[in-house]
Amino acid sequence: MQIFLPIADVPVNLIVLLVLGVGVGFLSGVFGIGGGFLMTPLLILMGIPTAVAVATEANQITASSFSGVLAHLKRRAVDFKMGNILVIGGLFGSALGVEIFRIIKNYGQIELFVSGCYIIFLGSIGILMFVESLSTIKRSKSSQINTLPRKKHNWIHGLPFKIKFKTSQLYISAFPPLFLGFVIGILASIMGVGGGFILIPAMIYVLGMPTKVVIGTSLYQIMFITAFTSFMHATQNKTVDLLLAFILIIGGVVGAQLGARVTVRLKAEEIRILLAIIVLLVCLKLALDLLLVPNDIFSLTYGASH
Amino acid sequence: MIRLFVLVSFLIMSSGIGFCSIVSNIDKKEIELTTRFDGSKILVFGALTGIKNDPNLLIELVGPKQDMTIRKKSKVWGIWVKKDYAKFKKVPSFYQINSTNLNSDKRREITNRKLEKYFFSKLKNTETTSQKRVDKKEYFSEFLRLKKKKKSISLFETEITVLQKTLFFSTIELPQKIFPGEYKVIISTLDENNEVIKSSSEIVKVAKTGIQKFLSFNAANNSTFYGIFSVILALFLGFSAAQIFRLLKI
Repeated sequence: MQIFLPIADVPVNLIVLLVLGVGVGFLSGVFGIGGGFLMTPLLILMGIPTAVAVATEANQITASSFSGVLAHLKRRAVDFKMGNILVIGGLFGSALGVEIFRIIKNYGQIELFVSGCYIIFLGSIGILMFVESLSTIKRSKSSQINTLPRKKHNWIHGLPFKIKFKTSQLYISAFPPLFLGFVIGILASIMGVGGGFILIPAMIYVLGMPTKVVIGTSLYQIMFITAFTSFMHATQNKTVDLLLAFILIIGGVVGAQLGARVTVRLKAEEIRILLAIIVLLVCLKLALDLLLVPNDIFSLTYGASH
Repeated sequence: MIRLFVLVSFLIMSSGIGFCSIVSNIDKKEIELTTRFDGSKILVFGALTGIKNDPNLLIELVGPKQDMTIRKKSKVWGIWVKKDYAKFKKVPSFYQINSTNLNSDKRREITNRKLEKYFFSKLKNTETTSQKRVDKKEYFSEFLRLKKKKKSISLFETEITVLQKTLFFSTIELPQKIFPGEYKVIISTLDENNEVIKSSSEIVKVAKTGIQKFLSFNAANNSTFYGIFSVILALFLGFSAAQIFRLLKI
């Protein structure tokens, strides 16, 4: 069933899009990841223009992170003070990212730029995940438990402007969370991702936050940042396709709920290797598109930008 | 079909018999671009009067004008990058010529003239990153190839059928991706030297409707409203999802 997307200006198959939404939603339910870093490149590979894929995916993440935040609020697992500082940093990052995005888009190089970012990120995440799950499996076989120490005192704890974070039981400088939020804001606006895959480890290992508030707080920041990012893309680049977002949100929500229910029945490490392989395959496809001789060296676009 | 010919006969009668004239019509004056739009066919028909020999007819469809950019990829540090480009200022987003059975010389002559008028003369700003000019002819032929591939240009692929030297009809097939705006249908009779004797024209209005219109209009013209709306919609859907699944769990 073909439908025509009004902003992306391309026909797509509704069923394929829904299956994609459910599929990525399912993976995000199983692994507790946002799914943006898989969905955006898959949309691009499907033929959705890069600029629309990034902006629309930011909109989808707003929906999924909001529904996640609501669940975590009930468990009082959100550090609002920390979240708000991350949000402030993120707003600046997102505004800067959207501006960079707009300039590169006007030069006609946005596909190359976004693909390049994805190749680097998917490549490194895929390899890290693969290696980590392999070693977890090995460790579980030899039944050794080895975890990273959470509260380490390092140079970050010596910075000025210290603030008390009651929920996280921390007394640290406001600069690291501001900077972290800033980086996540840039990533969200350029790659159409929530940034949880960087935010969560950084909150645990760099800021030293307790694990129980990390997911709720990161979702809280991601919700605000992706909402702001999709608003900025809508006004600066006019690239948010609401019809596409609607379909992805519906598919994603159903998939995530299904994924969350099967988690218990699957062995986490083995499935994580599978996810690593999917991530690496998407990365490989994007890389090959840049490295192999293209099918057509000429391309035609509407508009008279650079 | 019968209704069309009744209409055509009526047009002939109402136009009166004069020295070479064309009466024409189209079966669709308006096309709605909905979410399910999957291309459209326009039937162009009419009648000729005052013509003694087999008529030479030309039907053109000229779509709304758009700026276009063609880019060429080159290998830079091992990566294929879009590097050089050429821009077209205000060229028809869709262009089709149908004709009666003209010989190949005539077709070639008409093609060259029309392509020069509508496209080649609009090729501007042929630049490269190294400030050299690109090969205009190469870019133009690639432009035509890509337009044909996208089915947004069609030259002499469909014939015009003429019945009894007076009645004619032909079809124009619009692809799935077309721009909203006014599409001009020009019907001309040509003499031996391909000069236009008489012509008439019709307008097809193509407009987005429903959700397509609402979204693309607001995204382009009320982007602040659209941006806020997109965030509210996302929050609403996120909230609804949380509520629905909370209820389901109970």
